[in-house]
Amino acid sequence: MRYKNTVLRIAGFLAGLLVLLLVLNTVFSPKRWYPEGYIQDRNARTAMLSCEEPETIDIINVGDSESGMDFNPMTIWEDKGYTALNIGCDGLTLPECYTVVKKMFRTQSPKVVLVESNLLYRSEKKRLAKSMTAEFFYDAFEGLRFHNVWKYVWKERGYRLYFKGYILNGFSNPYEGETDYMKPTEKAEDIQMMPAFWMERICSLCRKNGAEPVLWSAPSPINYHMAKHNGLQKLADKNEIRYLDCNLSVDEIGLDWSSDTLDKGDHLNCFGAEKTTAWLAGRIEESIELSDHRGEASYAGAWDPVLERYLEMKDMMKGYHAENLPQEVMDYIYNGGDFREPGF
Amino acid sequence: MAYHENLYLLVFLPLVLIFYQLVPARVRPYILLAFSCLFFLANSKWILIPIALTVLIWQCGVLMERVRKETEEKLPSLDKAGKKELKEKTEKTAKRILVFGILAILAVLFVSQYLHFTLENIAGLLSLGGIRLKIPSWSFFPIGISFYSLEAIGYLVDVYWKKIQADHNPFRLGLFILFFPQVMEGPIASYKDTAMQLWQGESLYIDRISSGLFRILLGLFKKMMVADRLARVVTCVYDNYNHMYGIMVILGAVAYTIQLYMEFSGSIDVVIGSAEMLGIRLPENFRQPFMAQNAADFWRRWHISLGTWFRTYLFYAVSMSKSVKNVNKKLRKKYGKYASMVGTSAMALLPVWLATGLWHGPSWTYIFYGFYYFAILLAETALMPYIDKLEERLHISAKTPWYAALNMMRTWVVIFTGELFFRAKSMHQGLTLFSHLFTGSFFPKRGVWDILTDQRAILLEKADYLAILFGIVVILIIDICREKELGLKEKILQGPVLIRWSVFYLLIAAILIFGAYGAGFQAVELIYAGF
Repeated sequence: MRYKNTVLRIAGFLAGLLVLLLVLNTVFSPKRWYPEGYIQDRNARTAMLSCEEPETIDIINVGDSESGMDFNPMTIWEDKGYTALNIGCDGLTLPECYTVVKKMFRTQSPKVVLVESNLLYRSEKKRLAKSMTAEFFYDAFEGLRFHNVWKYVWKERGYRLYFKGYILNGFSNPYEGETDYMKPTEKAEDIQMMPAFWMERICSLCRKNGAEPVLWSAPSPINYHMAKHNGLQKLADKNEIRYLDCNLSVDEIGLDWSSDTLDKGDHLNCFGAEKTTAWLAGRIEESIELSDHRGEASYAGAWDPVLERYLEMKDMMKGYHAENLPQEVMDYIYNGGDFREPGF
Repeated sequence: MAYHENLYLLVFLPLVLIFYQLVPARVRPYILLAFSCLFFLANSKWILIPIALTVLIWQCGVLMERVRKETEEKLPSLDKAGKKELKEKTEKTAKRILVFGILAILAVLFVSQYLHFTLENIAGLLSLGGIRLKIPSWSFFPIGISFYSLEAIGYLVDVYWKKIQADHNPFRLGLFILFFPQVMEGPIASYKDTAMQLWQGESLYIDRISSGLFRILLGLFKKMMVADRLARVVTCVYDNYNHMYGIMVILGAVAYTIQLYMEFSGSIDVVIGSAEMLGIRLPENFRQPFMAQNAADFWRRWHISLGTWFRTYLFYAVSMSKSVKNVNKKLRKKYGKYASMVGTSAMALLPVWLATGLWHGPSWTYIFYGFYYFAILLAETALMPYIDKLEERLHISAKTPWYAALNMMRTWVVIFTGELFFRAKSMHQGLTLFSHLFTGSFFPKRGVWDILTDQRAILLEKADYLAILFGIVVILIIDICREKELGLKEKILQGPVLIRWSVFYLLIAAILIFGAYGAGFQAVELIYAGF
């Protein structure tokens, strides 16, 4: 009897807790807050994903800041008419990537999922373990990821710009080191067990949902060398996926390290990102057939104004250094200016 | 896997509770021991160190007891003089075993914590004479070593003092040393109070689980609502210590003191709550420290288990030693009662506070911190008779409200000043910050609030300060209720289900909505886990 009572009390408490979590999940739903400018932090890209029109995205890109800064969906839309989203952002972990991809498949059916490889080498066990449990929780109660929106009661709302996930940055800080950093070697910097496990999970999730996972490495002499390439190629072979390493094709891409990098070879600026993305899109096309949506009424309203604004802002940034910016550009960087993405 | 992390709270602890309840009572302690080893390994690879310490104290304890038992058996056959001689010889042997055990523990502690520091200082001294010494860097830090080393020494001394019998079960001793909730941050428990509880393997009870859960939620509230936010203010002040205004130094010291309290007492709440769920009562470590009337009172309320340990095993031992007693006698004879009281206090307090400072880690700031409290406490002892006389003349007592408030605020100044140095990475940093109180501009040209809400410097928003204020007010109310012994927790836990559950849900909701977690927040590592 006592045992039964205890079980009933625990079950009752947990049921109440579940109700509380569901209420909070609804209250903090990104669909409610992102369009109103309440989500501007690192989570904005994930929130953006929730607000995209269902079944409209062809390509999704995930990864850490290398991916966030070096993949530009605007280029793909302008050149090819494919719709792409960039969910990569600083410090994104593999479990976070997995949750994002899983979430995306609930509303979208992209044909390609790009995974930038830098995060596979930034996956300390402890960080992965922490992220894994957090993501398990966020996967069930996504709204809690955006619990900080209450702060905007005391804060001016803004519309920090994410051009379909890409933050425009036109400044350049040249890389002056070795340009032939991919020197041939037989050595391979193997991927550790946990990151490899998560990569495998992402791949099988993609296949299950009819998307092709593609591993790629952003061009970066700071972060890559041949041993890493070899390790990543081994991982790609094991998972039977394509591996596109931009570092081996810097000349083909047409990168100029004196003008296309944002921070001395770590990340690219928008000019470098455009070249890289164009090259990537070309490689993707080789194996996957995608449709050109330019001119389609259902896409034009959501994509053309964003591209128009992107080109305008890019011109504005050209030639400026971070320390000498006009007010309008400053406003854009810190507040997103007065621009709101169409539909919001 | 620290106590505030979701991996501990949502995976590890529930797994322990489930496994613990599912197995028969006699197996439960072993389950706890296995999970404790797992917890240790998740945080540090040096598990052989606590295991070696366990084996050491187990054997030392058993040896001491065996020597004494053999003596007991021989005694009836001896005459009075023989008995006395044998007893003395036995106690000498027991003392040798004790000293060996303590030295071995201290040696491990020294190598892990202080060897590098010592070599660095020797190299510094030698460099003055033009000799260059290259010190190899190594990483040898078994987590929580400062805590379980004291527990191990306490056990040996208790066996030597015959307060407890030596434990012949190494697994029980191992569990006492490695028990997962307390291995990282204490509280420093005595064998007598915890070892047997740990070994009983009692069933889980819903009342204990809910009481433990309440404590855990309170701890998380303190850390996530207040401590992790204040950490940013503190980091900003200490990282820019060369260019700080006086007012910012004061804010930094106050913020750090509150952060440390919320963080340390919060994680101790999680620790005690976790143990409580398993039916194990651990000693309290905090008792409203900011309501202390003086520095001595503060140390009876702050990190209580450390204070108790030093009082029991160092202060009393030194006070009762022959040499201190002799000095006391001489001082009393030559200079009177007052001088002997101050002199004896100084002799007993000095090693205690030097050890307290050093215990926190290998840094001159910690040594300074120890000496700082030594000076403050000695001054309090020396001034006590005069203050008593003054109170008598003015017809006031410690219970007079305005006087009590004044004493409390005076104690805050002592605490904040101490913590200003405690947080500093070096004496230079601490002294520079302290000097900004008296030199340079006290107020910044732009408002203090502007600096505090500068997104590029401190990364806190106005809303974060409101959350901090809300958190502090809630904890203050709880602390006042505790101080007045209103039994708030008991009233909630024994009240109607609706009220009890509402309080739980409110706490959970507050943590989930206002807690500092998720994007833009890096959970701050537990400060005392580094000691």
